[in-house]
Amino acid sequence: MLKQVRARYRLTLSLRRWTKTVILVALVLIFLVPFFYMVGSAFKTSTDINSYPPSILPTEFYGGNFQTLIETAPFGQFFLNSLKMAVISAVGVVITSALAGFIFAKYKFRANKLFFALIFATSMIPFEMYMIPLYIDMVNAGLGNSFVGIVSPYVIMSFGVFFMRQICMQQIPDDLIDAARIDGCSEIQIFVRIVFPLLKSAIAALAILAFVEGWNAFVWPLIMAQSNTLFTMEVGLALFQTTFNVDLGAVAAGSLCSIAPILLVFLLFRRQIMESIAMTGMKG
Amino acid sequence: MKKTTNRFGVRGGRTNFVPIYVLLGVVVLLFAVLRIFPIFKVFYMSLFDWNMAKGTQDFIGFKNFTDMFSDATFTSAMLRTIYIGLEILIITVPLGLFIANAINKNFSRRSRTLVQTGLFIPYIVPMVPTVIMWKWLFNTKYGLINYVITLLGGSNLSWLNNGALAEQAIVIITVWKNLGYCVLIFSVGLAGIPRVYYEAAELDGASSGKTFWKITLPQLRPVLVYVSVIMLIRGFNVYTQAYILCSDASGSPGYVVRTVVYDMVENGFKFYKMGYAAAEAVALFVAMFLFSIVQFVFGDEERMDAWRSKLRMAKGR
Amino acid sequence: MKRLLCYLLAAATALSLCACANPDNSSGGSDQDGKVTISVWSGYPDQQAWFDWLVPAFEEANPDIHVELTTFPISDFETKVFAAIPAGTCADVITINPSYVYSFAGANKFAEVPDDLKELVESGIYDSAVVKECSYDGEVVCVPHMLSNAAWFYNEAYFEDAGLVDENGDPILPTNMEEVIQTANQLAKRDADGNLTNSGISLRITGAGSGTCEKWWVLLMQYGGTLLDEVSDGKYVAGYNNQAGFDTMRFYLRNLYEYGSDNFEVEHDTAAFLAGETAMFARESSVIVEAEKYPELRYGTFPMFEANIAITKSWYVLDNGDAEKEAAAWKFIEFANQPDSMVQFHHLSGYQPARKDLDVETLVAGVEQREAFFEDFDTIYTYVAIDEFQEIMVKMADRLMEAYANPDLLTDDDALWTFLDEMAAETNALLEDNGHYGG
Repeated sequence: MLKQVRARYRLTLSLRRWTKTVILVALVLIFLVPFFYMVGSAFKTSTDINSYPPSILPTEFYGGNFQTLIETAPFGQFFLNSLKMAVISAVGVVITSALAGFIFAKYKFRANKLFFALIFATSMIPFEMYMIPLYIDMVNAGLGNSFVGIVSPYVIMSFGVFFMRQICMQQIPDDLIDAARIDGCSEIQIFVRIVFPLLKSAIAALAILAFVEGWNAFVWPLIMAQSNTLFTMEVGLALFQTTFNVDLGAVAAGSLCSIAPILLVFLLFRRQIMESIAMTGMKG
Repeated sequence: MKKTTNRFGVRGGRTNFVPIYVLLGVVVLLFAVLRIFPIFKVFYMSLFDWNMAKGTQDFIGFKNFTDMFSDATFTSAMLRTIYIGLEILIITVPLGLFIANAINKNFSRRSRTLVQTGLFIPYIVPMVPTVIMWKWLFNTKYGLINYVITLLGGSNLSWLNNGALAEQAIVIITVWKNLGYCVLIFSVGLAGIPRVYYEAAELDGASSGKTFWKITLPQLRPVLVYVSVIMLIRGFNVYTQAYILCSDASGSPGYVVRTVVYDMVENGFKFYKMGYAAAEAVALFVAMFLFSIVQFVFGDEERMDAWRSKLRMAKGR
Repeated sequence: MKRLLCYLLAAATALSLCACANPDNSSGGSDQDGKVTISVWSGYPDQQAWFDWLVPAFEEANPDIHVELTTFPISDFETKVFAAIPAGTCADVITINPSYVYSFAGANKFAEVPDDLKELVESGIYDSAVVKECSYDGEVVCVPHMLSNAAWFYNEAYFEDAGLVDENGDPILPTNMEEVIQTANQLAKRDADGNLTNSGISLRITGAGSGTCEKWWVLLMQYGGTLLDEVSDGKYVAGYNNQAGFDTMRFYLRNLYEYGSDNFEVEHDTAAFLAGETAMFARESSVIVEAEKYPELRYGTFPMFEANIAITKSWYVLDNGDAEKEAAAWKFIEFANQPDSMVQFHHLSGYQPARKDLDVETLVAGVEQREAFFEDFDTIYTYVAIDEFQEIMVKMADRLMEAYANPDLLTDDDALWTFLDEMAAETNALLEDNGHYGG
């Protein structure tokens, strides 16, 4: 009798769970409809895109958009440039943000709030505004038309510093640091050996976000590049905007090529992000 | 061991803070060179009639600012930007938090992955193709959105031409793009909450609602502040969405989608009035700074507790 | 499962890499063994086909010169040039509209045009307005390359459907602006409830920046007006708050609200026309190249009536201090400007050559729709070479678009005059601010 009750309870529980999952999946799919539309458009002819009533799937599979990509410009080079930008950006941002964020969160010194406010405030000015003075500085420093010049603004991210600071405030207990100090660790050792591993989840998230920012860089590479050998993907995609309209098919196809590697990175890092930090016995 | 701490946080002379402060110095230097110096130049520019083409710079003090505030184009752009920014903030943050919290506990690994990845995809897609695609979706006659609306019995909405609708279009696009970001960050924050708290709450028989308000939310405070401030900044900085929506012949009229950054780029790069554009950037910065200070204050636990107790005392409880 | 997904995505990435990789089709090298290398920037991807022909042809004729041509996206090309010229990082040669770089010309950023080219420019083979646009302080500073002018496009099927054909079955085309209104009304297709399904004319009533103002300007010319009247050398006043401006506004408003031949809901412009959604519209000749992708479309063109616009793009050589490169650059421009090159240009890109001494028959080459764009007019207007011109146009465009959305202006004469006066006041204020006001 009890077994039957238990079995039925388990059934209703898993049924409830199952319905919840189905609803959730449905919602997500609806949310992604515009994205599916983009995927579909990558394989549509332009008459197909303009057809009414609009549909997500192409009436017939058309690979010509990808061919347009190849013929228009060296997108392979753009891809590599974007990749380099993204990776270097991710590494740089993670290191600088984790370090700065941790120090701002846990160390008391007079200039703490000031420096942080300065760094934070830089995120509130749109890049378009200060890119001209920055560009002139870069050129004067001899970095015009160089990859170093293009990637340097992307090795730091004030959002990153802000984010890491908040995370450290939330997730790194002072006691842990004190304990390490008592044990004789130097400050740098504390950061590298103890704090950094604890921040795995946040670092993974930040790495992905920086990767995306670096990958999708547009205005800055455009301004800096003297020839299209330094174009990134998004600059290349902009070539499809003509005086009349946009070649939606080509743009969609290019975007797909752009998204695939980022999605890959995201999936690889996702588990890192979701791992709960089991902290037992630290806070009373 | 008794520890003494002087105002620099140096304890008892045993630890050496110099190396780590040097590293901080390197980071601060990078920021200074790559961000702060150019930005100071921008603030400086706002006091000039700065024509990049001619290379002339005439000091005009605050004239750019007085011109700006008496120009209806700018004031309406500012109001529109604040409206759009706040709307984006109010939608994405609670929604993101709700979703992140919901999937944190109740779902299997697989469905959690699906939701996180699915929501994050829009964030990955570069902004320009995103808006181009949404522009097509919002198309009055051929767009998918109006098609669905007609299927549900409504009539075609003029998304790109109607002022109110175009603003909503911008909000929709920005929310779509950034929701995954919020969910991701909140997930990181939620992952950092020690399990023990939840276990204790469960033992005490707390409902999920109470657990959320009393445990999750307070623990998430720093992250919540972060997401709110970031979304506010993103909302205020809306540019590409407006620019693409009104580009080419079938786009929106300029005056319908004019945000401050759009106006700023136009003034600086089309009309050569870099000084005026810099002044707009300063005005926008001030607005954002004020709003974020408000958010920081609300997020400061100690201060809020202090106020709350003051309030309680005032009420005579 | 997740691993499978990861492998799939990795494969997709690798595939994208391979699929997109191709030999670098833009020349990327630095000076090769004794050759002079010049860099050329263009912001017009739709001229790529011509450049693909031009560069190899030039290099073959001039084996000691190597050309590195980069095409940038159209949307931010001006921003890039704007940033590059003061920083000294601009290419050796650029092609751009003179009004964008006018102030740079004044600041001596460009190399001096060699005498023989100067003579060519001033020899009368270009419209005098174009020559003026390409001059600064009386000196020619650039070589006109192409221009955009306007003509009417019409869809033959609409005329047949409306019965507007003569004994030969040819469409009866409008010969003045009033007839355009009437014809548009007859060509428009409406459903049983009287709602517009296909516009009889596709007016430019929405969209980016200055384009709306530009199209209004072209139609304003047909009524005898223009944007800025030059009252004395370098001094201007708004030239449209008069009967011509009034009539132009009424042209739009009558089409929109009296006859309902166009409205805000239907599709507009080139995309609509090529898809057969609209009967008539006015645009540049590059539509003809676009139309080649729609072979089933039967369309024709007829010229503007009274005057036309000529939006120029010219060749500029940057003064980067290298005399050898400058000489090579001018050679390149000369080659690109030759009659054969310009005929190729017209055929491959669809834009109009700026020089008027080419054989029209060769240019038309049997595609009769091209003819309408070669119609000669006594009155040709170009962008005015003053800094604030872009601002004037953009601000006007915003006002115009608001006015188009206001049906009251169809009948309320006073309100319409007020509108014109306010718009002109703004224009004049901008002129005044920059010291160009002649009122």
